[in-house]
Amino acid sequence: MTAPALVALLATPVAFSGPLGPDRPGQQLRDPSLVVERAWSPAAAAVLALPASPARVADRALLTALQEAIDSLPARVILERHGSGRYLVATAAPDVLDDLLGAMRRTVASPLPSDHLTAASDALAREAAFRANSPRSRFEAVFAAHLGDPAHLGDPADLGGSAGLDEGAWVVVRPGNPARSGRFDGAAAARLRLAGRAVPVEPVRTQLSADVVTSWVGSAYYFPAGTTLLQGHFVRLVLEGWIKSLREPALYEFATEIDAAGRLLVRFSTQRGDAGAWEARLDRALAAIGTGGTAGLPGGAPDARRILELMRQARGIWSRWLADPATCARIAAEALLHGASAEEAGALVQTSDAPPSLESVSAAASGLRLSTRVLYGT
Amino acid sequence: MAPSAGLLLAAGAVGFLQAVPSDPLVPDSVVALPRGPTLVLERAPGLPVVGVRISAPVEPGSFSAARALIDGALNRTRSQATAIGAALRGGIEDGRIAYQVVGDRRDMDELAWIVRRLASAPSDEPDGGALRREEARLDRLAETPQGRLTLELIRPRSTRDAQRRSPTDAQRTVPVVGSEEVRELWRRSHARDRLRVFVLGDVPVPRILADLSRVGAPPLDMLGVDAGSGVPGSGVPESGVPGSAEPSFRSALPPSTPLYAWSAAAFTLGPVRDPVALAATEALRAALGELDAPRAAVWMHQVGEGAEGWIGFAARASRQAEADAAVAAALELATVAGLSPWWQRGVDEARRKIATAAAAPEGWLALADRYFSPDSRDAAAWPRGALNRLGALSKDDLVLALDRLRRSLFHPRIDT
Repeated sequence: MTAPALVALLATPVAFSGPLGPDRPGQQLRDPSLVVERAWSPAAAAVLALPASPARVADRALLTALQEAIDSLPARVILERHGSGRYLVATAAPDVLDDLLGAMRRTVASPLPSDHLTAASDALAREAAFRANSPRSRFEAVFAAHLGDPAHLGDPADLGGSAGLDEGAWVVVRPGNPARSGRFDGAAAARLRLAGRAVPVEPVRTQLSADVVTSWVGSAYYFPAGTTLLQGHFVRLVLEGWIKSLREPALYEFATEIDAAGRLLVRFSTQRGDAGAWEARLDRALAAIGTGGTAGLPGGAPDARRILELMRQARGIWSRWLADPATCARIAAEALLHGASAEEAGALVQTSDAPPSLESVSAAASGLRLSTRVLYGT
Repeated sequence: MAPSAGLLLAAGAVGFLQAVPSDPLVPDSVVALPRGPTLVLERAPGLPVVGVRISAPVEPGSFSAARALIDGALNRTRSQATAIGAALRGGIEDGRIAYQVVGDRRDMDELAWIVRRLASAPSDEPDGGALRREEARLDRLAETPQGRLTLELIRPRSTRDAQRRSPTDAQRTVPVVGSEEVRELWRRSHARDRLRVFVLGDVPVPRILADLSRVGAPPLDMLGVDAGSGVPGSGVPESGVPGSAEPSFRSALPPSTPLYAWSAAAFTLGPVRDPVALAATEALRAALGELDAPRAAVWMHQVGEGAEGWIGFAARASRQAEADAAVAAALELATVAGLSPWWQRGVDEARRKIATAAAAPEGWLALADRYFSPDSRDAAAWPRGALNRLGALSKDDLVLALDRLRRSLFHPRIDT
């Protein structure tokens, strides 16, 4: 999608056809898909997750309505958007969790106020107009088009939200008795696999030359069949740890995520003229992780000792994510969106004591297949 | 009063410290080690991480030296923390030098080592980089009216009072810091009997004692300083660093800003750890969002470094009269009539901030330090005490906060 198309999409008069829109009130929030109880937690968290979609108007209007509904509670709600989905993340004092969940149920079941929808639409149109001609927005639009997935492209006619609660997930993390959440089942976590998919032998590489001082590169890789979500997260953490440890001032940004299709997405920006060198570095780093650092790759790829260190760093970051109730709930909800069962998602957020082995992470990295790469700039 | 660790250990009562976890917003134990730090322990069973925080008192006159000290401490530990995926932070928070690190619980050895290094003596060689960065920061602040308001809010009360009496340019100064001041600050503020050490996580007490009871500098009495002075609970304000010399200052005559006229006001609604002040601040912030000042831009400015909770208003306009009128209008909001409609919202927002900040280990540690008490059973202290107090506030409390405002209000000159 081009940037002007994006602006047009957001500026189009709102016609809410999604289940969260005003024309289909009465949507009921079912019981949470997953409840995780913890022996110690000073706060509770509730996450309502919806499939990835470029639609933003209804999300933002719903966020405003939720914020109003919980205004008098010691609670906060934010909206996070990732490649894997959209997440309304609420954090609250445990003693008001029931009130919070009640407010969420009532808000979701009610028609979204038209003034919230109008305000959200106007705000998004302004933001899109502001960003329309920025190189970054152009890169993101082209990259999204090349990812070729409705989650990234969306339907311009459907501004209200492309998916309803039936396709979403709802996770609650609260203090309580961990035994009620079930014992940790490593086998359940191991069953939580990312979708593998056949990809063309030759990846599609697209370069859009532009007279810009910063170059952007986006790459999408498919994991090999059988890769678990946990292994996928560790591949990205090890990769990020390595690239960021280089502390290269010419690399401005570096970010990874796993999208709704189970792909590893890598985005970075660098100074003009350096994009090709950083593409090669990225590929070498993934190759080195794929061999556990034993292949002796030239050009500054991590060796075996360094990869072990990076695995330890990844373990620490993963534990910190799981320690925060809101992040923990979001990770579980993400797993549910990837098709996990409640048992599998619950096991995933108990893996701080059972990180994946280096061998399994290396196997996941070695089987990565680049499906598309977009370079904007030079 | 919490029992001393010596008594507990002598009685073989370590198990007492590992009591059944109760309210997560009240720590399990507070233990003042003889000639050692005060330990605040929260066991947190099942938490996959361990968080450790150390804090030390510092007075506003030493903030620049403190920042240089913190900068050096973070520089020598950052790579260790990164290597194990731990979150590291340091700064001046609520009038105390604070460092904290949160990482995987299996990395306790490394976390303890990082904390000991954070609190260890600055290098004998002056950390030129840290000093230069601090000096550059002060220079940048002095270049803009907003920055000068920041400097006014963190200025020691003694020099602020002097300026209030005689606001001459010669007294409009920013502190100069040298490497000897940094070392001297460490010796006094990091004396281990003045430190608070917070440990959040499932860590055996003997291990905590072994790892963290000897952090920091020798106790003050070993330096020939009266151990009672400036020590929490001694009656002397604990933000004071006993025996420290008056900081030296250099002139920072601000450049003119000919395009705009500026006006400012500064005040406190109460100490940052006072829930009344927190609620009043949030009410004021909400009210200011509705301020009608079409010819001026008005900011509310807070600096999180000091314990006194200073707040600034700054207004920018084309004409001085308009800027002054905007500040006056903002101050009119800070009255019972002006804030009453916003009071409940302020209380709600204050409760929201505490309840949600405590969710993550990093926030829990900071809140436990802010609402610290030498007694873990002090019902008025700790994050739970603050939340309870917020739940019981009335409009009378707003009157109290506004009275503090009136008594502390002054108008710093932040323009030429």
